[in-house]
Amino acid sequence: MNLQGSFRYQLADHKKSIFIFYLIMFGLYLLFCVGLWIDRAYDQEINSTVNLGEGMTTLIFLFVSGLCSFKENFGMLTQNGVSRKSLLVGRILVMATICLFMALVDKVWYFVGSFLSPLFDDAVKQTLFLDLLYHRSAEDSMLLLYIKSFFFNYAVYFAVMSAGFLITVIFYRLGKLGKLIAGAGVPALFLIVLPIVDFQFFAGEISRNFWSFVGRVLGIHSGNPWCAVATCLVVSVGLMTIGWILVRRVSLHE
Amino acid sequence: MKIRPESEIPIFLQITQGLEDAILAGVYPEESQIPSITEFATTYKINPATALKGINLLVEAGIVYKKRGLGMFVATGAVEALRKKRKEQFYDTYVVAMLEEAERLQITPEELREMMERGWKK
Amino acid sequence: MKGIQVRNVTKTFGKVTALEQVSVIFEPGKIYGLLGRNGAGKSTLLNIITNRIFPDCGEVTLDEEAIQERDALLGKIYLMSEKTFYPESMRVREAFHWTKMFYPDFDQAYAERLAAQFALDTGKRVKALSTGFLSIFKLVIALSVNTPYVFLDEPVLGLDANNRDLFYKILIEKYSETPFTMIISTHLIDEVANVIEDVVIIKNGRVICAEPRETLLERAYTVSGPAAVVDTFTAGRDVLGVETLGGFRLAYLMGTAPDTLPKGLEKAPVDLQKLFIQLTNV
Repeated sequence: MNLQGSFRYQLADHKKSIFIFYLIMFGLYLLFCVGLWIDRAYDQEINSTVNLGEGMTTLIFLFVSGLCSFKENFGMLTQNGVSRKSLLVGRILVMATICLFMALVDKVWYFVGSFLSPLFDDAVKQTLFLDLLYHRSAEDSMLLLYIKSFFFNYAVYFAVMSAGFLITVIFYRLGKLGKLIAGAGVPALFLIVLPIVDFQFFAGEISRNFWSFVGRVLGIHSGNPWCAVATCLVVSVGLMTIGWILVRRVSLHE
Repeated sequence: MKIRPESEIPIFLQITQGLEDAILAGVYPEESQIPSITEFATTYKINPATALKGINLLVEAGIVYKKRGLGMFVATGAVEALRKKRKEQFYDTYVVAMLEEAERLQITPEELREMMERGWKK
Repeated sequence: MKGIQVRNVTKTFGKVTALEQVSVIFEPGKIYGLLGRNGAGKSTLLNIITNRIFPDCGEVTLDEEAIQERDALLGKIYLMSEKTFYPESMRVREAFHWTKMFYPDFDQAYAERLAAQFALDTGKRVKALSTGFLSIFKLVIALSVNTPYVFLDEPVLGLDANNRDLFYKILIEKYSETPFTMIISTHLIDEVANVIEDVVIIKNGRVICAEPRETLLERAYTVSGPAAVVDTFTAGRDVLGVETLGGFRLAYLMGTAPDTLPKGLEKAPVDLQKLFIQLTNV
């Protein structure tokens, strides 16, 4: 297998965008810090929490990165005699590496931030991605919190990036009509048709059950992020399996 | 030496004949080196196998010979041998063709002889 | 059996049959001319061999091993295709760098030299290259990649006469030093007629001819003369086509010409391009 080539090429593709992403995030962070600190000189009440470089921004970034990670790479790698199998295995390794790197950066940032914050009179408080969904348990040590938060971020990032990748592969395989149906039809189904059917005929039972299911598998009710880690892993494996089925016989478009 | 792709003569024979002409004209004196297969192939944009085939005919005839690792050289006595061979071919290639054309144009033997006399004088 | 073997390959795109039961062999160290009219199926064949698309049925082997999805075998083939698959924002120099990563025998210094010879700016991005320079860019890689099999699909697209001349010269030089299998697919048949050793002609998705150029040309000839005499001669023979000018007629025939022809007729060999036109006319 030409795995090394596949891995190094696909990884290099992300380096620049990750660098730019962190540059912007860090810039925004500093802007917030300084801005709120100045504001505070006028109004002592101002307090803000930021969730930059960890959580939603990173998720969106990785999802989009996943979306942009097939077409061009497939062309380039096929041009260079790399099989689809090597492409996909390389892709999985690249995603694992990037998510690992970003989950680590999150923790370093949080750690550094906890020293930076006091310098600006704690005008800006950082939160963890984990805090958005789970309450911090009082008996958890700081170390355990770091570990939990690291694995949680890592697993969620990987699942989201896999989803982005799978969507782009699906779109690559679809014809013109299929692209239209998938592009407009699927969102319409889930955002319009399904809710209407749900509220008209099932009195919202479907969505209630759905969200309760989501809550359970993510361990939100039980406050257990390890549930989410396991769920994300299972989802990732599922997405990648579908990905393999789709990539295995994909034709290079002229 | 010129290669004419549109000619009826196959390219490899054109190479052979072109080289023969060049040797007869003294372009490549005896015991001097002739261009390599690659040079022939790249110059005339032909497959090296074609060039090889053309030159091999001369090797087989003993006109040129290979020196290992050095290239190909014109053999001693090559000019003489070529002249002898060409003379033998002369009747077939030139005289017969000339007579055929003369017949088409209804040129009499006297007229033909006269033309040849004129040609010699020039 | 060494070389690339295509066995009974069929490929359809929707209702269109691009290739039908195609079987052909490409031996090591030979230059092939892959000829066919627009849409005949040349690119489809090359794309199937290089695992870019999958055949409906049939298989392709390299030295008796199935090529499909095998990196080790795919790494022995380089296809320069009409369509460019290098990322648009990639610089020529970077493309060289990555090619080296995928094809360890790629000669980067040689590629730089060729680029200079063709006046290709290696600092330029792929998207900034004109049609001609895009071809040159891909050609430079194809000529430096040093794989035992190099396929060139429309290699001289957009190249001016000088650069075409330079390209053929470099190609022959390269091939003379170390022979490798080359498949050249082109419409400029006259230019490659004497470079190629074997000819593969595809017509409507079928291989109608695969043999050494010389034997193919030996099998064909033309006779010309007064129309009536030509017609009498060609009756019952394998006639590919005729060209008439007033009372004068020229017929293209397959087969061996008899040593003596009826009075008034002249025979002549056919060149590859003319023969190709006759063979692939409707």
